[in-house]
Amino acid sequence: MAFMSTEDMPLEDELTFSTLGLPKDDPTTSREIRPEELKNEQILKKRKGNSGPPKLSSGRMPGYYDMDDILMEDEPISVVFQVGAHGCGLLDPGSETIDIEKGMKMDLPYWLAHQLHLRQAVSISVPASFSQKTRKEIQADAACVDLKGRCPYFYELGCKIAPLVGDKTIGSFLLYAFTDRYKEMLSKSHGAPAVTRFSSRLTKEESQLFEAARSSMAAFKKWRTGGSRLEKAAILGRKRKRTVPLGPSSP
Amino acid sequence: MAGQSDPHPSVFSPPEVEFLAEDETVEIIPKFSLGSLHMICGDFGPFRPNIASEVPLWLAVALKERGKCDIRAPDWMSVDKLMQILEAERESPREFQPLPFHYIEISKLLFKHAHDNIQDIYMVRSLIEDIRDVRFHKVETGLQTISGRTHAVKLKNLSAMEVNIVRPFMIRTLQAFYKHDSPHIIQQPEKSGSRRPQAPDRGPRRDLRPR
Repeated sequence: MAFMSTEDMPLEDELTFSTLGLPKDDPTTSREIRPEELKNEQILKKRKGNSGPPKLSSGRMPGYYDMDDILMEDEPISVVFQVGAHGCGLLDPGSETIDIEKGMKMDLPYWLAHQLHLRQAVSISVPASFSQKTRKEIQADAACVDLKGRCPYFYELGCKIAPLVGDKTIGSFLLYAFTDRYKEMLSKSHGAPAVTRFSSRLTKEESQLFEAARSSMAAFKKWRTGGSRLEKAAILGRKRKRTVPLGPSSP
Repeated sequence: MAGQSDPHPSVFSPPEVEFLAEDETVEIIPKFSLGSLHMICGDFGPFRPNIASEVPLWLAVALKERGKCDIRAPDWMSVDKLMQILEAERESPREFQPLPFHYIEISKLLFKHAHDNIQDIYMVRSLIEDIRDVRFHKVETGLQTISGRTHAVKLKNLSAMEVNIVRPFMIRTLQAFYKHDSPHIIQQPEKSGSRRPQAPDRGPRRDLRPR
């Protein structure tokens, strides 16, 4: 079980899954994922219930309760199955059989792809957001690229996917993209209106940054121009509608 | 303020900063007589008509609103002083001139409540606006220099409100750069050099970037 990182796996589940990636130990063991195990795995992963709240290990689980971190893990990743899996056809909506054959290509959410990758059941290919084409576009003019449309969690996914696909250039590519787009964000964020064309192109992380600057400047401007410190409750401003008497009006 | 571990650092709202600024003292010239006031923040008074006395800004504003005193504008709020400061701000692109920590808030409160006690109020008001603009522009150009190797930013003489405006953006920026430039993510310098021209020699991270 040397290949398994135990910190990623709950103890009670270790045995069930130990069959998965161990071809040499016992060739007779079928290297298959049964659906109930997979379901089990899903639940465990969703709860991230392996070790309780956060260790700040490298890249894994920066925030246990971080909503964005959870949402990010739903990003689809294209994988190729290295083993066959009985009864897992439901993972691929287009699949006609109930089984997954070796060498099949499909999109899985990151959390599942990552766990299967740890067990050497799948191989992960570089997502389209980090393809050469995107890189060329970002090199040309980073600020003009609609990263949100490509992947709203571009940076987070990039950090997590880099060690899995073994592409060492992703890290510096991310830094380059962020540095270049940061300049644009800085010059446009303070004093921008609430929604601009530029802000709709920003990824989640960038738009938080953008919003932080914009809202603090807006709050300052409001304070500077706005006079009174006491705000009127919304209900006080309302005028009561006067009901018009329905009787015939006197001429 | 939020602790260091909180990923979403809380900020003060501008009215809260104004509230903090009200503890600064100003000189008033009372129009009434009263013995010493013993308050939690200190003892003030006794008050004699036409004899200047130091009180916190909130008390000064409250008395002024009731017509019980005149507020003496602080020294720095004169056209000459502000002119000098504005000149100096424009001449030194990397340094901020020493001004009271709460100059924006104090000037706003005085403009609002004691406009008849300030000489050349229009001039003073526009000068302070100009100074604030120049300083904020400097902050923005300073922010442009933040890169992965910036660990901290030293902002000497920056005032409370100015810090408060840039705080959320700056903290998030530093966090993001720190994350993306960490050696865990960037394992080795670029070989082709096509993306980062200065990548090969990264050098050690610097602790402080003097400004």
